[in-house]
Amino acid sequence: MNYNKRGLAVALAVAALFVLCIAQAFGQQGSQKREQPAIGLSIVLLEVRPGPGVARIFLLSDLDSGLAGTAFDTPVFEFADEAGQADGVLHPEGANHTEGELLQPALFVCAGTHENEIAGILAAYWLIEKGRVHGAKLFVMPRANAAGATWSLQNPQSPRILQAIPGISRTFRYGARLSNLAYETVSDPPLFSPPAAPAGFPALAGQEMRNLNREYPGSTDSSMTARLAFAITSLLKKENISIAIDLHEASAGSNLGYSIVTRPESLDEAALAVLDLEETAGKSFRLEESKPEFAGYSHWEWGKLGIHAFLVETFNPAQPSDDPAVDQFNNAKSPLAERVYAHLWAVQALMANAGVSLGISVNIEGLPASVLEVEAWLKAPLSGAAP
Amino acid sequence: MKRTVYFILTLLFVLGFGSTSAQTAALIPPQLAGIFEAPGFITSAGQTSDAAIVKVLVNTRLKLNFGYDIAAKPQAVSGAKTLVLVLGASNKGLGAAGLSIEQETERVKAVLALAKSEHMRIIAMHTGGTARRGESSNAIIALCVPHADVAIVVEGGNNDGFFTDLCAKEKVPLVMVPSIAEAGNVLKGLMAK
Ligand SMILES: [Zn+2]
Repeated sequence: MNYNKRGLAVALAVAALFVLCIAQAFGQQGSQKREQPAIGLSIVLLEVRPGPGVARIFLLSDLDSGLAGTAFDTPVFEFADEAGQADGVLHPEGANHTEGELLQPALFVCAGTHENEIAGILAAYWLIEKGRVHGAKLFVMPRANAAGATWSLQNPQSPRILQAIPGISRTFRYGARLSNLAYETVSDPPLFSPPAAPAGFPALAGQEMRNLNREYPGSTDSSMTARLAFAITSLLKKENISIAIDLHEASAGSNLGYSIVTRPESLDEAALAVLDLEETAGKSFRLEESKPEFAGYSHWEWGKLGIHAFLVETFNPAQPSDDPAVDQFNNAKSPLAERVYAHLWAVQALMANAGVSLGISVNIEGLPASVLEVEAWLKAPLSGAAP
Repeated sequence: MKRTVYFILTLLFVLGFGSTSAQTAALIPPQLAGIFEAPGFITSAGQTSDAAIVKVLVNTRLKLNFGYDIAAKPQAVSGAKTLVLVLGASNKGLGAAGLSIEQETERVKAVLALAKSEHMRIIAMHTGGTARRGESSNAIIALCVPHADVAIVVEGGNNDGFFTDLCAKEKVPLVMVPSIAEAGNVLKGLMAK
């Protein structure tokens, strides 16, 4: 399919999905809280315009019908391999595949695990609008925990809306770290232990049950947040994901800003990415090796499936209180454009270096050439950003 | 004039700065260029994961084939002629290795003692910027640098002049570099061809 035809097909599919979710929203007013409209899809489609790289959009509820019609359902954008049929990779294990089976390589970019960590979400939006992938299929999930994008620390009923130039630029939600309590089916326990935690692991605060990044690999018989983790794990297995990256941001206090965290077996790939990023992003990322105390974290649990998995952190000056007084766009220390730029080049560096280990040549095209380019994109209206 | 400069540069290139750019060559103290011998070995001093970055830089990118163990015991280092110590205390790294800072300090002292007894040359490297310059890091840096033949420091890690003062006091040549990649180039330029 050429780009124009594919673009038209995607546009039609988007329009159909949009109509569907609006209809669902009206149809389900007044019903139980488990049957919320497809909030994730409507949020995302109001904030991003899929570009020529996107071949298909589907909902996470396609992987687990338990998410359908809830605030936890969210869209996934699939990119076709522009290089055509790439060589396969050996899949180490997985429910849907036999060991040693040769399958088309596939990549995964996850953002919005924590809906206040906006640079990752915007990097995913950039990919959706401008990215193309060579050497593998790519799946991008820009707002992994859509139920976290329905509130903010300042207001349990609504997120903050950010806009670089009032009345002109694209708008996007600044949500919260945890799922919205209003959409959970289970109330917070007094203390929470990640299901995958090793023996003797100290329990976390009860609200951490609503932290998607403590719930992997997920389950279908506890909270909705756990169910969301389960659906994402199902997606990774079904699509034979070989490399997966979860985009986050950290506060100054956490000492994790501008770092890449990974399991010991992927440490060399991440170290090579750090070297690449000195040149491509002009940033010195720190490297951290994760260990069993990272139980329930995306990259730690995805890695157990044989996936080369990475956690990328930039520095969000408003965290951890999500201080509304911080100007995200013009912050002197860590402006948003710089963080989005760093995320995008981190994705490229990690995909390329993990790809080398897997024997595949992965390249993402359409990345920004400068921080200024990202700044202009953030300032432009949404319609202007469409390719 | 321009031609003469080009001629001299070409001559330098032919005379053995072959794989070292003029920019890198200018950073290397002339008396140290090419005097460090293989085999080399990389370990950390303080369990910083920067050691893992230096390892891929030296082995994967520059193909120098050094031995590596972030928490090497002295016997693992034995037989090397060049020891690279990647400096920086990391609580996460210490936790992962199951070491207290005191145990790590003892390990580093033992490695230094072995290196001295086997007449190894020592390169102290700091690539972690301000993040690897806390109190524990400073103590471990102060322990290692006096034993080093040269210290290579990525800018940012010396914003407060800590390395400048320490190296001046201990008479250790200090090479400041703008990036980790350039630290690798300098290290390569130090190695015998
Ligand atoms: Zn996060």
